[in-house]
Amino acid sequence: MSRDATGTTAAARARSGAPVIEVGGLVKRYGARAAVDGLELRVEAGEVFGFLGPNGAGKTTTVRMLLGLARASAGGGRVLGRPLGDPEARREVGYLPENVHFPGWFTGLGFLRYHGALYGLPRKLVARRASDALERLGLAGRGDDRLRTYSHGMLQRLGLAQALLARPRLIFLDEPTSALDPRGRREVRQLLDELRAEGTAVFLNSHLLSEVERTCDRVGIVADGKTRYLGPTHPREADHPRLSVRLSDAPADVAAVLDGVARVASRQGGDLMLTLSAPGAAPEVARRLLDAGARLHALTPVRRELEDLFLELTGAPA
Amino acid sequence: MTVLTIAGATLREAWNRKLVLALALLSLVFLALYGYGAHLLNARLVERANHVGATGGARGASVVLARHQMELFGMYVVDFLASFMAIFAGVGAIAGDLEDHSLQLVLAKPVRRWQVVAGKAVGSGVVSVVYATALALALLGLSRLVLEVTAPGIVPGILLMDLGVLTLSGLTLLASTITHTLTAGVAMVMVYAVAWTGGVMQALGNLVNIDVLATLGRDTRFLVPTDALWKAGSYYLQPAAMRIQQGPNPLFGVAAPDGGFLIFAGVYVVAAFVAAGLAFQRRDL
Repeated sequence: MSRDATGTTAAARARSGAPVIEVGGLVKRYGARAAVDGLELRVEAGEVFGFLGPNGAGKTTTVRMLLGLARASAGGGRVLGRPLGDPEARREVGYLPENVHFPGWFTGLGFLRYHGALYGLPRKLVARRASDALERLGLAGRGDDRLRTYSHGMLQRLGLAQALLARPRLIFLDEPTSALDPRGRREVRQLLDELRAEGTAVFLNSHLLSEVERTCDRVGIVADGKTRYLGPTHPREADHPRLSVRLSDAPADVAAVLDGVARVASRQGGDLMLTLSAPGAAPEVARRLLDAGARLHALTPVRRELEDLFLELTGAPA
Repeated sequence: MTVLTIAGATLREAWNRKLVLALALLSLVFLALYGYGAHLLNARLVERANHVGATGGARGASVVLARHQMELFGMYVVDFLASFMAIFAGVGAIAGDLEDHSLQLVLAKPVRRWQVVAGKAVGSGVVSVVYATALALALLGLSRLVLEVTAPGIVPGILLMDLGVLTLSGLTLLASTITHTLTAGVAMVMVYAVAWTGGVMQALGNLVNIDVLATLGRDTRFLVPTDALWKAGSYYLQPAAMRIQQGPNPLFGVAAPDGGFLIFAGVYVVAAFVAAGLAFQRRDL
């Protein structure tokens, strides 16, 4: 899938006009404590966006404000072109929170019909879409069963089916694969790909960085209520060039030798991790080391994983 | 339409969670106990009347009054059960759904918060009022069968009792919008107790002529009108002779309710539901 400099997919660019989410200076205070503190966010139409941050970073509070479940203390923005909290925007929004309770007395179809009615959709349309959604999520044939007979994974799929009922332009998913086995996770990834192809934007809140790396076009990383990173899921080497160097007969003061072209991020004997000051600085690094009498055994560009970026920006495990 | 959708789901939940079935079964146990007790009392009353050879006149009238007293005590228990039914049916309506995140799923749709409160109000209100009315009619029917007496003002009596139940339903919904399920439940039991205590204070004040006590107890009805509404309803459920014979007592009303208070109670119920809507509107979820 081709991405431009901001990591936006070609499909998303083709569909995008106004962003589906655009917030600036968003603040939410609980007493003296700011759960969200000047957050900036922009999600384009048709992209799968990963929203990451350590526990207590303000992710859930942000989603609540975007959905109108909580009011911003300051700042604001728009969801699907409407001000935060406008119920009309939610006609085209799907949502699946984590740890939601599914009333066991509902049947699968009854549950979907109820939520379809809350969207204000005509009864016949709801019935058709409910059947389609059950089929799509692998629950065909279980629609008439009570939810108390569903497994945790089946309930998760039903929650996803519920989020798709309105054919939304934007879906918020909170840890959608947490209860699923590997096959279920793969199916959800396929579903996200399908949604992207259909032009639906997905706002994915997840701790599973491997899932985010595999599914998201872009990510936002928050910590202490602030946006720390907003960009492509795979940070480009040009933005964060790093080199792994193995040498012997290293000069005593490597840092001084490389001054101006690279910074020594870490060193273990003859193994160095360097952060380049410019993307094209690798040849200059090699020349200076050789001129200083070092014997160069290996010089390898290092691709930074999302996990590295996350840990660097948040200082906490995902 | 959204209000009716939510109300319908609330009613179906009550039905499917076996709330209605549990209530029906327990109410049948209560009615069976009441019926058996009424039968024993009636048999003893007839036996005594026959023993003294006086089934008519003043003694006959006192037998009838004793039967009415048994019936009215049964209605007091009906009001008590219906009041607690209103509390327990409504206490988790908002708070419980918020705690298990199912309400967030609803409010992430184009649904206004007042529509959720209105839907829950209709659902829990209907369950409570239908239960109160059905149990009251069942008890009055049983009394007619076993005790051979009929309360004089059944319609105003039950309507006023229902208004009291609806008041508790509204206050419970208000509590459910601003606090947790358990806290709301405990608070509502205390609210019910405050109203009941006010009624007792008023009766005692009148009985021993302590004006301050009687006034304080009477004015508690403006804080929580549930006990005063039961007293108003019970006034219509007893014959005039019984009211004269009883005098001031803590359980039953012996004075006709004043129109001003009834208007206040009606406004109070509406205000409780409106306050629930406003409180929920402002709350961060």
